[in-house]
Amino acid sequence: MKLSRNLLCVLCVLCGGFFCLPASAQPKAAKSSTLNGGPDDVYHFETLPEPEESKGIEVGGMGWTADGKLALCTRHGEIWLRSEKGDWKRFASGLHECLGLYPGDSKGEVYVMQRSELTKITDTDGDGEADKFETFNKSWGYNGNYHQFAFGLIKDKEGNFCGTLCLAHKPDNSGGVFMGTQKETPYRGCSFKITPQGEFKVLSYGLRAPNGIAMEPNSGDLFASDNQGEFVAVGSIHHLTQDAFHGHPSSMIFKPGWTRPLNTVTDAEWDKMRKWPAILMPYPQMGHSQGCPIFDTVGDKFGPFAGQMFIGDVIDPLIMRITLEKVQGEYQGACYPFMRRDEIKGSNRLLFNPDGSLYVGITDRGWSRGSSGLERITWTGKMPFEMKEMSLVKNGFEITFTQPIDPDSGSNPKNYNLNCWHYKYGRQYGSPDLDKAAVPVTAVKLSADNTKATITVDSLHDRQWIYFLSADGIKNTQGASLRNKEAYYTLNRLRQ
Amino acid sequence: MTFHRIACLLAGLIVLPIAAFADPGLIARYSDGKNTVQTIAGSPAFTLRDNESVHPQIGTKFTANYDGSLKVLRRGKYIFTCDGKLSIDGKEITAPVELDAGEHAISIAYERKAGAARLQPVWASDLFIAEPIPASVLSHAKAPREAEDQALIDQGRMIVEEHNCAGCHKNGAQGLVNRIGPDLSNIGGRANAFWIYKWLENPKHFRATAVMPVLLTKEEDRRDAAAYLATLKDTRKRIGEYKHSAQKENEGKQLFSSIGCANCHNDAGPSLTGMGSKTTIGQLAAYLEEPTNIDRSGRMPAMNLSKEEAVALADHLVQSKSDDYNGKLPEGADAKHGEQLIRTAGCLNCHTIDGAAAGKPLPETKKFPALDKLDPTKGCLAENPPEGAANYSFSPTQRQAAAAFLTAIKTVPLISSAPAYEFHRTLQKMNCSACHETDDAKPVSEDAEKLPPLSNVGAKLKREWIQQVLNDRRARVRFWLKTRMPEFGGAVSNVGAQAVAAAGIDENEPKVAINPHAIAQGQELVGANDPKKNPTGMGCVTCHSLREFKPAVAADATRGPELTLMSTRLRQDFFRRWMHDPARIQPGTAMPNFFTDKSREEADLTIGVLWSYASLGIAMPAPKGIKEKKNYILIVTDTPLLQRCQVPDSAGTIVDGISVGLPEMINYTFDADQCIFRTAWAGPFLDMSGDWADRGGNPVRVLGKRFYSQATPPIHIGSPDSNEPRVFKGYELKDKIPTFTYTIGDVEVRERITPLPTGDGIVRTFELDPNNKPVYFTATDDPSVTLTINNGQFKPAQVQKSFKSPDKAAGQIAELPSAGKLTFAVTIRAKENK
Repeated sequence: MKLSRNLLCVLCVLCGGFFCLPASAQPKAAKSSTLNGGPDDVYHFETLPEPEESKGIEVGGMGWTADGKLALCTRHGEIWLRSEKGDWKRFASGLHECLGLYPGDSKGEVYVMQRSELTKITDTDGDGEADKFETFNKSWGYNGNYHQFAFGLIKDKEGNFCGTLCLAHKPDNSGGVFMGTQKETPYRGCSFKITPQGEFKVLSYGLRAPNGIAMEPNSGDLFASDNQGEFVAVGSIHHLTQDAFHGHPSSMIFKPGWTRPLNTVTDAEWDKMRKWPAILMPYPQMGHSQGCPIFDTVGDKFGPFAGQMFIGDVIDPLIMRITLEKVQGEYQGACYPFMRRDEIKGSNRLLFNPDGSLYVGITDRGWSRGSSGLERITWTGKMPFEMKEMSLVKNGFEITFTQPIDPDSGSNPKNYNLNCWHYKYGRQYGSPDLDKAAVPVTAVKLSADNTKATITVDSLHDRQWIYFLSADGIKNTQGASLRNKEAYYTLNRLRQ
Repeated sequence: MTFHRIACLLAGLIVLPIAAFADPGLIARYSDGKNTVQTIAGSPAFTLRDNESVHPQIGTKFTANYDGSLKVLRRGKYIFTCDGKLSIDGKEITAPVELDAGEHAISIAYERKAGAARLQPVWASDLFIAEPIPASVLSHAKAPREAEDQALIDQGRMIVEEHNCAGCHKNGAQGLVNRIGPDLSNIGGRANAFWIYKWLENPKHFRATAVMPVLLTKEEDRRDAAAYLATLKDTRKRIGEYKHSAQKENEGKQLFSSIGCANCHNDAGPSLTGMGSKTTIGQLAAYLEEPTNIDRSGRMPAMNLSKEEAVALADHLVQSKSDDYNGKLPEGADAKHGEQLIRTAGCLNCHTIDGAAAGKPLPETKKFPALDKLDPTKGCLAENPPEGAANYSFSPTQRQAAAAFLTAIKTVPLISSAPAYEFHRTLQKMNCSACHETDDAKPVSEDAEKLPPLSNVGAKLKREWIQQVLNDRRARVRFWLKTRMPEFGGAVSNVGAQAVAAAGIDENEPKVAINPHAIAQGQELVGANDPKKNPTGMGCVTCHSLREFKPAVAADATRGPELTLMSTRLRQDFFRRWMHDPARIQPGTAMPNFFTDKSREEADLTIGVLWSYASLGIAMPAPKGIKEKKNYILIVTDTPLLQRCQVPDSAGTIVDGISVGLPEMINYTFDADQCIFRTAWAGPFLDMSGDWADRGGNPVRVLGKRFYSQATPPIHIGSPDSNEPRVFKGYELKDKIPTFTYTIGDVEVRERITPLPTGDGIVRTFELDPNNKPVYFTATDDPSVTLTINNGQFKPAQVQKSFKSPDKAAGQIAELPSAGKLTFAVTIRAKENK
């Protein structure tokens, strides 16, 4: 595994890599035995027809307009509106690679991220097609490098637009393998806020290929995903806080007061400065190149996962689920596979419909076989048997299930197969799994209603360790196995 | 004369038959007042530039007289047009003439005056529209003695060129197109030492068609030379070795017979027997992939083989071994002495050794007399060449022909460049008729795959396309063919021009009127016929491909070439003739005649629409009923299109370019980063593949022809040298055309760029409120455009003494009147366009 990963990294360097690996080198994602295309009695799945006149919609951003239409922007610079009935209308075209969209607060208005600017687009004459394109903010640098993506777009609780800026593919100023930025192309590798008046402010530093941003609706906390590469061991979810440094050094040149040449700073020094990712997404089990995260804001309409985070992958046919909890005041948590099936290969963007369905906007942006389109996933109402959440307790983990489990299988420690490892942080591309070890579960305690299992272990590592739980043997009271049997917990801090 | 005849002639096997009854071509008599040449011309046609002539031994001012017979298939009224005096049955033709079916005497008298000239007899009748009189209807009964003599001289010239006599005898004959020998830098890698040794002894033993002489008559010298040559190995390139595989060998065998190898390498062609005793699979495969890197004469062209195919073919070929070439070099070889020999015996007059290890060739030590000073009975041409001469084992016929040529140039030297004459010789040298039917010959094998005929090819294909087909393996439009059109390399770099010269055509074509209506009509015509949805559809897409669209055709025989390349390849006149009656041009073609029940005028209207649609080339919108997903060409029809992307430009890539394509076939790019109107072009709009295909994100491709580029800001407020910061604010669409807004300092500028109604330029309209400050507009001196301003006047920039514009390249400046609100328009008109 280690060898092949190194080989992939070499290939990746040669090919120049998206968010991470070249298409040709993608290992086939492991197919879940329960979900491999075909009918599914828990989540109904459908491919929505693309607009007739389109060359294939490669989805870069989605949102709901003030009058209830799905607004969708594409890599080819089009904005499409889709009515409830499924009619498509082209609202705008000719834009430059749109990778984020905010549908505006009034009808006929859309904000969109283009390569070089945030643009306010308006239909002033009400004919359903945009005719006014105002540069809302053009503060960041773009000098033509294909990897200079501009991602977004959401509004925070104060009404600021929030987004992230991808590094360029070379040249790098920090000793990284091949991603970086320079003074002439400011704010690459940063997350940002743009005030309603159009003023640009850096939110945080140290991102690499942050393909998407999401807001936790209750706290207003912001999160961005990042893609494996140099200084990014594996795909990550970062909690964005003011002036935080997330780990990739290139963007530090934009930090006011920063004077040190980046190449004089050691990896160990950067390590001390950085804010750990809240979630690490083991490679390749939890994706190759993660898409944009989104929170489940539809209550119980999409199953038992209200408030949890969902995220797709640009390359794999995979949507994942993430639970977050605060330990010692900082976020950490676990990620889980949610759905694997061919149709969602390249699930770059996700959007919940208030009616409870999940829209999946597809593109692999040339990193794979060239997928595009729009899919919709609806919960049938049948309760999936899943690990709803894996959370940290003092001497182990508490697993909450979506259904009561069979006490016989559930109380047997052997059915909780726990392994741990960690990663090397630094300028190399990605990281292998280090110090991998089995963690014996010494005891299991079930809650009175058999929906929670608390597993105890002898000792736990903190500081960015992965605890991988495989719960193959657990059955529910009907004798069914878990729909998805894996959970990956990122242990940054211990419960005190 | 076919290649095979040449090959045989070169090998000295047969005597060429001359002047049988009713041979093709007319008897031509060229005279420049001093010399006269009589010869047989397949077609009485040529296009000449000032300094060119119809024949190399004739000056640029000449008279040409053609005589022979014209075959009329059907009785009818015929119209002839010709730049010379054309007579039928002894009467000069000045008006339409009634001709019976049968043979008619034809003669053409032409006088070439100074300057460019063209002769192309054309005929038309009720049965067919005007066309160049095809070579197939012209013949002559008996060639005069002088023409037979000239044929021998021409054969002699071929021998002299093919054996590169001028490699040593450098002077005395200009304009010879000599065949050079292979590069020897890697000969030690490609051939084993013993094979080289035996080859030096008698090249014709290995290959009867070999043109290499025996130079070293002493056995020890050949041994030493072989020892030296065996040391020449190209270490710059790694060549892999391969083990024999029965499966590969079989694949190679299949390839050999299917892709066209066997068309030349037949019994009369270059023998490949014993290849396995010469070289290895890896070496031969490397050669086969790019043979013209080694043999720059192009006689062995590149067959567009993949690595795997080259290996398979090589595996097949090396199975042929010969005991004659299996052995060891005799003892005592002295490679140093061998090197001396190679460098002094004249080898390097034909061959090169470029390998780093071999160093540079030594200066040639031997001196040779000029070609026109030779005694053709002596030296290399003697029956038994003496020691020191090259021994080519010429046959008596070959010696006779070479002597005829060498004797002729003593009195009638080669004085002119004659591309039309060269064209037919190039076809022979490159053996084109091994695969294609030409005016002079056709493929030997009756059951060979039918390939496009090359008869009068210069009247069919455009010069650039002919050249592209020969030099670029990607320029192919018939992907279903098993036979591969090879790539010939640099040796054929003039063939496009030669073909045009031989066809006697006028390369200036009528301008094509393109309008959205014609495009829409073209889309319907080319689409599949559907009585309800597309009643005018001709169904071209039933057989022809168009970009990503590939028709589902049952048989390869009914496939047609790619439609978007039609206007790149074909001459307009040919397209018209072809559409009117495909079978007249190519009997047996699967292309139907669509106009059998239509008048010529009706047909011409439809053909005109098709041609204007086809003229969009790669930017042809898809025909009606065809849906393409991955076509990234932006196609402008009747509404303007806008696209933001990176646009390449001479002054550097326009990174944040907003491009607009207009129905008037005018396009432009506004730089949203610099707030400058940067470039404009005519024709098709953009190919977005650079941005959209695969990972993309790169500059796109500008289609069409640029007529304007400026990288510096034109508007200066307050003084001519002011350069306040410019900030882009966005754009508004009106009639789908953007009005750009930007600020210069604190002044807001609105700029709208619209097409000139004449379609040959654009108008930039500006609105700004300069707050009563003067405004200056600067422009680069650009000879390809005319600039006018409606609210002032352009003056040369240097007249403005105070002028220190940041626009360093500014050649012109206009001062606009001070005003509160200012509106003005600058027109940029292309001088030569559309």
